[in-house]
Amino acid sequence: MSRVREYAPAALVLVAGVLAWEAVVYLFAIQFYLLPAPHVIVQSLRETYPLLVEAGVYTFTEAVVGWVLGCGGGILAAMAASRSPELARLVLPYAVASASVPIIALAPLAIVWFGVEQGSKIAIVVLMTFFPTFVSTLRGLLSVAPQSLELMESYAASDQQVFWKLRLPHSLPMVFTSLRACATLAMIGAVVSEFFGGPVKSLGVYIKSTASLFQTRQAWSAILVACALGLLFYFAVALVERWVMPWHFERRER
Amino acid sequence: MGPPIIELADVAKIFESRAGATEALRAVSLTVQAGEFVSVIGPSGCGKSSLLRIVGDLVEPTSGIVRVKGKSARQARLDRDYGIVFQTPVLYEWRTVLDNVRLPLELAGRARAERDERPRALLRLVGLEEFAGHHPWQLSGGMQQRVSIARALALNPSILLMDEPFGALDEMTRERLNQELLQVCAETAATVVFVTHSIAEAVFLSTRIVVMSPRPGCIDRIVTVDLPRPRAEKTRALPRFFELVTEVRQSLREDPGLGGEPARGRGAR
Repeated sequence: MSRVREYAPAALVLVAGVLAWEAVVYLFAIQFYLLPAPHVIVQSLRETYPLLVEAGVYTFTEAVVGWVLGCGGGILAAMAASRSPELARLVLPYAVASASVPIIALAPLAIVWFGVEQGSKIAIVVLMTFFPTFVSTLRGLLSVAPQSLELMESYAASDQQVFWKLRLPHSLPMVFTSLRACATLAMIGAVVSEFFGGPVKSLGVYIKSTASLFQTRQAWSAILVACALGLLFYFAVALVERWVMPWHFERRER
Repeated sequence: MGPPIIELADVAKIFESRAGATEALRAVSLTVQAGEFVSVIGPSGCGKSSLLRIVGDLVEPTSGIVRVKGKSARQARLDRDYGIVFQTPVLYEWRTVLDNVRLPLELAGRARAERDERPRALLRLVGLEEFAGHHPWQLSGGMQQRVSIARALALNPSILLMDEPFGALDEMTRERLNQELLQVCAETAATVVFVTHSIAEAVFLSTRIVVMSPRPGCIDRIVTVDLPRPRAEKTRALPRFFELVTEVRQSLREDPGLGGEPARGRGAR
């Protein structure tokens, strides 16, 4: 009941937004190819949905596979780097700097290297998700309070024990923050990479080709699917987060 | 008297930093017998925490000798002879209260049965049995510190090192925990080295009080506390209790540039 009350205002905003959109299109008699009304988009969604499902699965697969490889690699690399603070100091500045590099700019080159199919898109998603996860995980593993370490030291804990019983659980909140952000990044990376070329039955290519033919309603329905998949991805990760570290959320909700 | 359990001979500690060298301890010599409760008292910056950490092998002395149970401090730490209680409880938030107390048993690789039973018995000892499944943040500061005492006792250490464990607590909670601590110590027969800011606390708990002066930290005086044991609330009302408090206060005051009893709670953290 409290949940309903909590989210009701936000849901109302959504409904109001859609209604306002309908009203604006109707009142100002906006041409359908400039901005189709929501009900037109929904209609188009209904007509083209088998194709959209196929394209959605294709693109979503790229995002998820790239995310798993990129984030997984980032976590493993951070675990390795945390063993040697000297090494960590050496690579961390570059990993941080990579956040401001527009990795998506490599997408055309990725097609040259990995082909026009899913491989090139996965490669871009891997690059986009690897560095943020590496940085967050490494910071999490290294930001343990000195007293927590002293406690371990006073019990003559081995490096292994310090890692598994202190550093890793301590880093989890930061790791998951990055995993969630990367779920969003992965979907963006996959769709935008497809703009540079790919099979027709992929969201990016479909959006680009329909838009260039002024088939705006089809483009919008594909954008809607991309949005839904992005949200699905994000909330799936958030759900796993709650399941892995319930203590973190119990605390916040108090 | 048997051989001392802790022996410090001419211990000095100099911290090197970019700002220069700071002499934290100079020529500290002290012996502690098994079963003693020794408090170390002094103003902020007198090196009392450093002294405790040197005994526990968390900090290495610059010079001098530290022997614990006839071994080096390092060997004593590796043998897990210490239980340490810090200023803050240092509980791991992802662990329940019970699992926090269990941590030392896991680290020492103790048998399953002991890992299951010992933490419960310890929580019973500190009166927190019904909070076993709680997480640390659900407990008050005093309760958290009791959990950390239970954890320090997990491996039945022969030496308990306590670094201002009750410094952050209010006066009433502190007095109650003082009483509890004495009961716990009586049951475990551990030797205690206890760093504190509070004169009353030191007098109430200790067999001896080491009074330190700052910059560089060195032992000013050692006050033997001849109050009857076991100590209870009524101990605090004895004339001798007040005499000893006054004695310790005066020793602290004799220090130039020091305004008697330091402010309650902690100064610079």
